[in-house]
Amino acid sequence: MTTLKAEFQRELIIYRRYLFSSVSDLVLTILMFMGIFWGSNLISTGIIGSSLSALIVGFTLWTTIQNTCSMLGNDVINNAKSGVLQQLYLMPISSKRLFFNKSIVNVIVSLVQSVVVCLVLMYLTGQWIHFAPIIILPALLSLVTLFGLGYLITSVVLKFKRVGSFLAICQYFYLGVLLTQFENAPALVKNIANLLPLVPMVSWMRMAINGIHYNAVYYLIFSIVNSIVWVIVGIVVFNRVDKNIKQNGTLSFF
Amino acid sequence: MLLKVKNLNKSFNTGKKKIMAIDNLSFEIPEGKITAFLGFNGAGKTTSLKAILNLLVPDKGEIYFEDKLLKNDFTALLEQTGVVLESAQNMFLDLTPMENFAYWGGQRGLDKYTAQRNGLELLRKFNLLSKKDTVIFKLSRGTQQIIAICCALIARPKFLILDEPTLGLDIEAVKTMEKMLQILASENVAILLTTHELSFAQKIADQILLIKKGRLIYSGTKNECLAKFNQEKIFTVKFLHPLSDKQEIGLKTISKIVLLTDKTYEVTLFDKKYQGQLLQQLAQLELVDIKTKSKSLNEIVDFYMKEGNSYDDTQSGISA
Repeated sequence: MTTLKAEFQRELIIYRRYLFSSVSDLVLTILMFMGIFWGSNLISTGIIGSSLSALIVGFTLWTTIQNTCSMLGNDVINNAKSGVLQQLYLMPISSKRLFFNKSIVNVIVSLVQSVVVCLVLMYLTGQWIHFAPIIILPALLSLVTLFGLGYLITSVVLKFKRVGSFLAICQYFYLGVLLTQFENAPALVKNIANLLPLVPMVSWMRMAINGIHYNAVYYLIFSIVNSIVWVIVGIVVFNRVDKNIKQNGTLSFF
Repeated sequence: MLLKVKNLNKSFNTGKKKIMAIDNLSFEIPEGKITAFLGFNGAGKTTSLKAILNLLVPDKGEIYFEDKLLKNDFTALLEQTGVVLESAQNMFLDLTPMENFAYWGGQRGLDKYTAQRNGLELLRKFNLLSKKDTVIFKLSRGTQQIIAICCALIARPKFLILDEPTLGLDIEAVKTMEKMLQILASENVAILLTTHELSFAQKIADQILLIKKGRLIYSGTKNECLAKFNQEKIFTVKFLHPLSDKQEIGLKTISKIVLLTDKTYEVTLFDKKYQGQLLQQLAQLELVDIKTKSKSLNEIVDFYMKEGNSYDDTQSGISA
């Protein structure tokens, strides 16, 4: 537990120390949200729907995914470039645990940031959202899938080193996948698509928030399977990459 | 014995060529001693350290820590080992020493309070208490290096590995480092360090490991190593006038004489037992200056690094 606490404390210290940057990030997030709120863009109308509740859930989901892809990836890249990553590998905890801690901190920080922004915006607009509590379940399962994606992103960074542009491509490619309403697709396509990371959870949330009738058991099963599969895929790929970099001694080659 | 490395091998494939980075390396690290791991660039020092630390998987070989064979799980070694690697940030430069202590202590299972208490103790010991709340990147290179070592020592390990700890440090910082390592060794911390600063190694090391092209070519205590190369007693003697033939013949009965300049000679005793006799003879001559000369670690390493000289050539090294 001390390892996770240490990771959190460091994140908080950096947040406070570079307050200007932290506040700028928040302002940027608020501006993005306002753009969605007053305008209309792919994220708001596409991922979840165009109501305020859908907008907030979609936005939170998107920023969380974005942070998992870019924040975690960039954090690992920076640690590796500076050499801190080697030092982290010399701690008496497994590398799996190390990156799990980093993923948790990333996801939580990103969620807190999104929630704070949402609260501020709801206060400013005077429109308080009421969303179906059922969406907490797919949201939680999404977090499990995100941990799996976190391991995958880390593996890509460790294997290929400089992957900044790749992370950006992934982010927007994935936005495209999430924008596609697979729940309306033919059964075969829908079933296959539901194996893609986060797709059944996002479809489930979209239908719950927009009051569309859906088969809850189907989405629950697919969401559970999806989260388990992606966590396993993430861990298996990570283990292979971890073994490979130790075999070749390439951890410090950045 | 704290650490025992047995027959460690590691090769890398670079295209068609297979390079042996570590070739049958075996050595032991005792508790409370400073061991200098010496060799030229690319000799395999850092690769060996990485293999010991499980940052690199060796092709074969065994590593024992406190007599326990480490196979896939290196936790026992990592729990008791602090490491400062070369040309790497070994801590977060945007945090203060106290914040770094909390972080690295946390990674080693210490709560924030214990980690910071240990850190304060270390800062006090190395006279850096005033820097405890200064962000690392504002500190000098030397201070940063010492703080990095403090971070490595945060959980009071038994073993400290330092890769080029004096790199980029000025004379004052090197002296501080010397003192620091001697204090740690006196507290029974085993230290394994690599360095190219041979005078630094000569001052502080108890043991010498010399590696060349991945092979260990010398292993022993520093005193043994120096004694082995300094069995002959050599003097550089300057006289007021050049020696006459008669004077030279007198000295040559117990020593070898080489004329260096017109009045300066290098006198090498055939045996240390003639030392008194030599001094008596010299006292009768018009002496200007006399100096004893001994081989430094630098010369010894130079000898070993020459092509063809290896561990088996130690004896010939005496007269090299």
